[in-house]
Amino acid sequence: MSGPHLSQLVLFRILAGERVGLDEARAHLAECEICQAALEALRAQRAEWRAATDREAFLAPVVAQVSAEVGEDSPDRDGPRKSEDARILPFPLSRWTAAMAAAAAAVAGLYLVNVAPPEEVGLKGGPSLAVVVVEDGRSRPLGSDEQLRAGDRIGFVARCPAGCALQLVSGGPSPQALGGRFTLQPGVPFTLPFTATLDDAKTDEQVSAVFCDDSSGLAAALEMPSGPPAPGCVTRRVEIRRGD
Amino acid sequence: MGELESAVVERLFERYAFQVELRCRRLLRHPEEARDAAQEVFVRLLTHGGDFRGEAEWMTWLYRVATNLCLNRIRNATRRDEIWAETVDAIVQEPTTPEETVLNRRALQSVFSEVDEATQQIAVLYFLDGLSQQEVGEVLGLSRVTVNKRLMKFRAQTNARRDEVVG
Repeated sequence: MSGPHLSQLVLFRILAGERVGLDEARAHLAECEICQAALEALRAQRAEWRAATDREAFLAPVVAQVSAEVGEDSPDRDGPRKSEDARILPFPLSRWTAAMAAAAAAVAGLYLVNVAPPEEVGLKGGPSLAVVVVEDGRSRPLGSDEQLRAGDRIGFVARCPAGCALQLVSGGPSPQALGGRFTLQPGVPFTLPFTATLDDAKTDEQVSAVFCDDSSGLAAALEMPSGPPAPGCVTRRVEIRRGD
Repeated sequence: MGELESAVVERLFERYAFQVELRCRRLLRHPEEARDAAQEVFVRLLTHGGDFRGEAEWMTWLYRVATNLCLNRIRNATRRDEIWAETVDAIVQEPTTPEETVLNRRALQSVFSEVDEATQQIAVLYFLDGLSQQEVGEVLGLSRVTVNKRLMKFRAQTNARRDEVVG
């Protein structure tokens, strides 16, 4: 077998089931007994590790830390202290936690929603945010007069003609950041890699997208989410209308 | 944790936790510290995953985050010298390129602990992990030319230090 053997990183990627950009590596693997043995050894090692590792024990401190960090990052962190439950469930839109919104945001590569074309969801002109309704893993634009019910699942698509930093923020008297901050490429529609399942609230809700030229402007804008737009930032709001 | 969110985090765990912890163990050379570091990598994944711009697959991103985090921990560790000594041992015992066999162990250890963070990352990925210069560039978001320049500088520093040690 000619050529260098696969690096640990490439073996890790194959072990994780990744495929993009690995054609050459897989071709090498098919021919190279040394790399096959290395991959098999890793598989065996992983099996032993899984057998010896308590998943809940591994993840519990992670989730606790993420919950704490997301709570600290929220725009109203200097406001009155909320109950623990209120902090974890800051947004009546859904029964997801702020931490888990970030978790979902982190797995764009794992949890993709097949989103409707951008022109169909109304992404035109300047910085824009659109809501899509997700059904059976596919999405469609939210109708202009459409009312949503408990259990409906929605996602968000944004676009910024010149590229920008983006943060979604919940509406209401205590706006809170939803998910992570994202960098949008110029003119490219961006599907936010998380969805929300609506709870049984009856009142309409708002979600805002804060678009800024850079992430430092975003930080300034989020200090006063209800105030005037920060320099270099614009805010777009969408309504989530609720019905029976 | 809701049903969907549990599934997402558990899927991340299934796909990446082992590799991340193994990566941390290779650098930190201590199982408990490696577990702690791996959990911190997951925290970063869940809180800063939005910074991921799709320039690489998730494993590559995680590899970079884990490497940076562990190197930061080594810098602040009381057993820093011990860790670098073990790292250098691993490099010398399993040379990834022939030239490494002649690098002086003490000089290498000394330079590893002194160079700037970016060079340290490059040197670890290249000498310890055996990544190609192209792969090092992909992990760190640098051009291959930049990686090569940094490695040349690292070698020059190591050679100079070796001369000092020998001299």
